[in-house]
Amino acid sequence: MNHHHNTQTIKRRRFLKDAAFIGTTALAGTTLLRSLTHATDDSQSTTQSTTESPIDLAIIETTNNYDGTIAAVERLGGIKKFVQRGSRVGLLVNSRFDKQGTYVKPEIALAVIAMCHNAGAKEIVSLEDVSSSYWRKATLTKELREYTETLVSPSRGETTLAIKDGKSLKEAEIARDLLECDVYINLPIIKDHVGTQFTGAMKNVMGATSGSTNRYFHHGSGASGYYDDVEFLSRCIAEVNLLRKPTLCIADVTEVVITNGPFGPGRIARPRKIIAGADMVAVDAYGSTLLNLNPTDVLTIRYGAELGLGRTDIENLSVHTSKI
Amino acid sequence: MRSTFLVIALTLLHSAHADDYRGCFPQTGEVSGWTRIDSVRTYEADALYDLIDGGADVFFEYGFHRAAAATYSTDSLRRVTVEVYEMTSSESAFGVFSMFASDAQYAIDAGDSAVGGEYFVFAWRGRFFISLTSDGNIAQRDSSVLALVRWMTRHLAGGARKPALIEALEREQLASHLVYIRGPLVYRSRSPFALRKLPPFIDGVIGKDVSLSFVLLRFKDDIAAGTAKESIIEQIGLTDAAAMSQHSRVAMRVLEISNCVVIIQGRDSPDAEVRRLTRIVDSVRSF
Repeated sequence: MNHHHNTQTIKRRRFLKDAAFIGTTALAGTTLLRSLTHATDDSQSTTQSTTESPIDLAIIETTNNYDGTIAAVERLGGIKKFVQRGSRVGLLVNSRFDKQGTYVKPEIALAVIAMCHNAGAKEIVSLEDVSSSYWRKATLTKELREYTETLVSPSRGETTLAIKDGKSLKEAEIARDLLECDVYINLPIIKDHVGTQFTGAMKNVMGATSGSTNRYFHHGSGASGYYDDVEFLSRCIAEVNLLRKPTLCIADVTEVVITNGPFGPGRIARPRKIIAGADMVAVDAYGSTLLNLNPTDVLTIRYGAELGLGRTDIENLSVHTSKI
Repeated sequence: MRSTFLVIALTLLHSAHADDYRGCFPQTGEVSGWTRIDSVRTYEADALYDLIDGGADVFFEYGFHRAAAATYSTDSLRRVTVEVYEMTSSESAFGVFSMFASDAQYAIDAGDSAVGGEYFVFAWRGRFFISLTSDGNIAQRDSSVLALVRWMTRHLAGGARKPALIEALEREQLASHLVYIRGPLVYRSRSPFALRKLPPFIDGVIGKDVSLSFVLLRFKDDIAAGTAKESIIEQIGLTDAAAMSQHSRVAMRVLEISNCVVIIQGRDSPDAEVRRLTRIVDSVRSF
């Protein structure tokens, strides 16, 4: 498969046309077109902001995950604000679980891939292997399946880097592609986690770190059990994110497990929301509230804010919410 | 001589069948309407992480032996995945079952105990915990799913025994749902009482009802229980000597009963429940 050829032949016209096939509602195509052409013309939208500052977080409530993802990015200023023509995009999708409410809906990942192509991305690299069975969870037309085939597997191996400000984590072995890509897009699912209580954008990076680094997260303090020292684990998760902040985070909070995470099966909540923002801590903080958690009670979020990775004071951010 | 040989051979065959828990996965056609679409995958020791990344430690905490999984499909349900976990004892298997069953919505007549929910069925049979999950929703008590689960539980060795404390608590009907715990992971996941440092305990029970929540933790001896009680009182922030917090509508107690510590919270004063718990612990002191 020639990925570059595929990338070039998927034109904007077809990207728009394809959207009409993927939506789960009859209005899929029309809502997508509306979101692209009238991004702020939504009767049910509100923006929490005291100034004319750009939107920090876009929250879209939707039953159409593909359209909702595109709408969320549009509210932030559009994909071209984040992805420049000719850029190499690294995509970190939480796709490895298979029970309901435990993985990012493939329609969300697919919408991001389509948007990146539309913005003229040269290459889209999956920072963690995505199995073909993942895409089978979505109903795709033949044309849309081509988008999944344009996703390039990570090829540059891992590299070990020192973490200058790390207190618990002095170095980490991480996918070289995550560090070297021009644009790093983090696609987590917000859900319960039996060990860390919560998982979202910050913890998702463990999908791009090596097995030995992940083992250090769990046992580096001398803990024998995987979750015997959650404080240390949470600090390591926060500190590894010092290596690179994402360019953009798009979190799936559409249908998520609120017990027995991250693996499931467990009780499902359906906030039907997609959160987009460049600030991974803010994305996690907002997401945690949808799970009825206090953001500062979640150690990864608290430590991330302490390290300056982002903000937890959602009330002071410019937050756009709308329903499509 | 020949008949003796036959008896021995049959006995060995039966033992081998009972031991080979993979025999509980029906072949295509053995349960009407079900097609097995892959081979039975097996997982031992740390390979469990391959089956449930991020969740294997829950099973290790209870006492895990081995697991197997397979995928089935029918015309009406797109596909279901069935996982069978063999635990180190029936109490361990019951513990895992009790944790998962707290998310269930209805009871099912299968195995030693079984429940169902929106997209899953959980069953307990002897040393085994069975988890069946679907891509889509499962109708309540779906007959084809029930047939599959019942077939599987019938082909697993029985000999179920609940922990003695659970049996005593169930007799008293103190809470609508009880989770049997063996370690800090499930405590943190299920307990309504957050503790930063959980003193090491042998096992315990988390009970929840409409107006009552309690945790009962069993320690190795009375001294360990006394130390744990002091630590818990400090962490929860109870300051008075009786370890009692009486807010407008919530009352909490932390108390030591023999080698156990109980944290109990109720809408009104939980004194009556405390007396019942004391009686239960006293009745099963050897558990």
